[in-house]
Amino acid sequence: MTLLDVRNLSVSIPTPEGDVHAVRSVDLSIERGEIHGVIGESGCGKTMTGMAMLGLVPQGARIAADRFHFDGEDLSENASRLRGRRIGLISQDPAAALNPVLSIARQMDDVLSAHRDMPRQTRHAEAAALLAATGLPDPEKVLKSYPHQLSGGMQQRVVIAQALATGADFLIADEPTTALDVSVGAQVLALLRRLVSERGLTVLMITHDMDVIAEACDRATVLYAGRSVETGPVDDVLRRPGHPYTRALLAALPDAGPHGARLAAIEGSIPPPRIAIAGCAFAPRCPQAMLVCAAEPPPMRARATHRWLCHLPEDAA
Amino acid sequence: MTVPPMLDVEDLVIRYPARGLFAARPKPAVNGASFRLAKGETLGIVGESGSGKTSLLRAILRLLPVESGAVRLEGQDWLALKGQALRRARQKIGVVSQNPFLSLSPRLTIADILAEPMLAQGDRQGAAMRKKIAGLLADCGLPADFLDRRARELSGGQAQRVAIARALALEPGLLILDEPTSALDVSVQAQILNLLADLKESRGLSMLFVTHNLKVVAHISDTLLVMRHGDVIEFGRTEEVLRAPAEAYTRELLSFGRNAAMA
Amino acid sequence: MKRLVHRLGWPGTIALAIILLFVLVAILAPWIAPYPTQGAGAPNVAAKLSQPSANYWLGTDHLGRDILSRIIYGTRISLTNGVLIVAFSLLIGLPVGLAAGYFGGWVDEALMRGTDVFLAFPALLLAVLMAAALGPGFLNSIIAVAVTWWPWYARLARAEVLVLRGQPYVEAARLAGVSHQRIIIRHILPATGRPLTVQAALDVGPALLTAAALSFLGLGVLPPTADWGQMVDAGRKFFPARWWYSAMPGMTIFIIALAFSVLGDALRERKGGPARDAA
Repeated sequence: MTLLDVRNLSVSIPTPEGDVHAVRSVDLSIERGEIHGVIGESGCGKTMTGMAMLGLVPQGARIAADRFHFDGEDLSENASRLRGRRIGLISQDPAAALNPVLSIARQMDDVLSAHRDMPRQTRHAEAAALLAATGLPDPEKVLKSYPHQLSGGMQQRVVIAQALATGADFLIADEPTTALDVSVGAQVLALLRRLVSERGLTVLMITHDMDVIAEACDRATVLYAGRSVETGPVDDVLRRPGHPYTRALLAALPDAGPHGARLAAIEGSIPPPRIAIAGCAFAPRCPQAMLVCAAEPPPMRARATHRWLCHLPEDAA
Repeated sequence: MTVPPMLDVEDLVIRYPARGLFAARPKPAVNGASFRLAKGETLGIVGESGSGKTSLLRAILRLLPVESGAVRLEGQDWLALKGQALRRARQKIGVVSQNPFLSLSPRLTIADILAEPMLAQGDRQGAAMRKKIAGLLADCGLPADFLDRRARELSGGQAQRVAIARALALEPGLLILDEPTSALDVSVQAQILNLLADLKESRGLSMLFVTHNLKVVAHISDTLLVMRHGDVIEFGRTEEVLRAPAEAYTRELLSFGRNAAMA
Repeated sequence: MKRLVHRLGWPGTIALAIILLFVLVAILAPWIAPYPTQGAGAPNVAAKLSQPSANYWLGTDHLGRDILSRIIYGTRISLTNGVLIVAFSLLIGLPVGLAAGYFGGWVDEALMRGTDVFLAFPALLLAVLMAAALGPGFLNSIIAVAVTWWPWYARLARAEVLVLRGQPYVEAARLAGVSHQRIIIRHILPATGRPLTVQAALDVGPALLTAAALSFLGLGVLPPTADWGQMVDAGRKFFPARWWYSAMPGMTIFIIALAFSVLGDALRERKGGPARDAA
């Protein structure tokens, strides 16, 4: 069942020098119980897409969409009401998400008392249970701690426990492992996978890291210049990419080629966020670009549930 | 007689001073590291936070005192150098750090930034220097019209190219790179890694590449050193380490991202 | 103008305008003072101690000199006092703070313990003692105040340098073999300069207030040069019957000190540029 259904989402921010098209056209369709990766490089609009779902876009920003539904409710009206109730955020920097001067017990209790109707004693037990569910070995000790006494990985687990405490069933994780060591990040991703299967959560995983997508996600959507250019099961997107940009991105990874060989860098840079784009946004950098690419919006190509936007026919991919 | 290695580190121990008079002596940040970097090769040092890789790097740069052990640069006792002699010898090592926007002065133009090391070693300002600077920029893949810009006007990849150009200004034999691509996008990272490979080839550079990202360093380095909790847990030719990692920890790092949609 | 109000708020903008007005008055004193010769000190005994009137807007003093003209001329002394005190203090404090912060270790210890000695005394008391020891006079009173003032700049500069010293671009210069002297001049000084100049500009107010206090105690500028503090003191003998003699220069000191204080608060709470509206 589709939990999040987004069609043609755009976010533009008016400035004196003209509108900044932070998100141009993003389609997202996320099934209940999946981890859906949104991948892209800086400036692709991935974070702004997540913020739009939380109702946290900058003041004055305009959000438009053909459809912007979360579990049947229209997010363009209800985003800020659903935030912290059904939709939770796990951000890149867990240290910044926790109040440095309050104990973990106090911060967990604040969340629980705001969202759950239960007596104080039960709340303490619930807080401990939630921390235990995130794999923290000694919940009672963690409850007595202050954020700075915990490692980055432990802090991120506390943030996840807080999100669970709100009762949220949809988590937006914005680069949740970027600030952590690789081995610790892998554990946090494993935790998210476990929570998804045990508690029926749904996760939108925003990342720039292909390894995170490969490690944790069921499906993925690739963003380029504020547009979703490809979406599908992770296996298809990573092993049989349809869009030339996805192919280029995968080829640029240091472990893509043989040891020491030159890497396939993508020449050029993303189009500036203020200009309008007529055809395919990747056309100027695309090694397979044709005349039509710069002029006309690319059509949808599909292999089962794997879809991408490209002028090249399916069999060329 | 054989050519001495570019860098020869022997049983290096680094320990931070105890905090307070009666505090217990802390365990060493680096616990007896030994390795060699041959001329013209790249050594990758991998480790996570707290592994000691940063302490090791700072000690080699003489920004941190060592407790015991030896560091020889082209056979010369590097730890014995002091004051003026050390300052002059620094031109043998070029350094590139993680965030180019922090490591390039926000107030100076690119031309000034690149001139600084040359002026420090007594070169004269003038047309010859400007030509040399433009040449450095070109070697690092940037056009000469960048000379009068400032770092904040550049993209991350361009700024990192400037930082590399500065590190090469005094034609060092050894380039030390501290997480040089960690702040960059994948496609830009590929450009920088290619540039480094080119420079190594054209200038016969030796490189010390320090990072937390095993995959990046595995791609570019000839020898690989893995650190954990202050210990060197793996050191050898990159192909061998990758083929048969001795430690479970190394295998774990290598396998990350390889579980694609197994679930 | 709109941007200025946006950044400083209305109180800050008005305070800045008042300060600029005083500067203008100081520069143009001979041309705008109603009685320039009296402003410069020439007596006019016939009109002594007249109350404020159409001829003498703020009244006259015990030698019949127009108070308004005296205040206008006094602006020159007061502002110069303030500026020079701050400048002297910077001249001593900045190098001390730079050296202490940059080199650290025993240099830092020695220099900062030295400044602590000065900070151990109440500032005004130390200034009075210094002024008494040096004897009254324009330059002496400035030196006396500057002696109590510079340790603050030393500490401020040191704190700035401690942050800058760890910046990667400063470290990069050091690793390139750039000399200490050059690093300080090229990288440290320009970056410390800005916050320190802002602080110094704001300190002109309190500095001229201290200088006024010294001349009130007879330890500042000598008559017949016009000086606000000295005028308040001279008028005391005729207070409250001839209230305007003390009150007018007193009000002036109050206004300028308040203006500097308000501007200081406005600068500290300064809002970001227009970018904030766009974001």
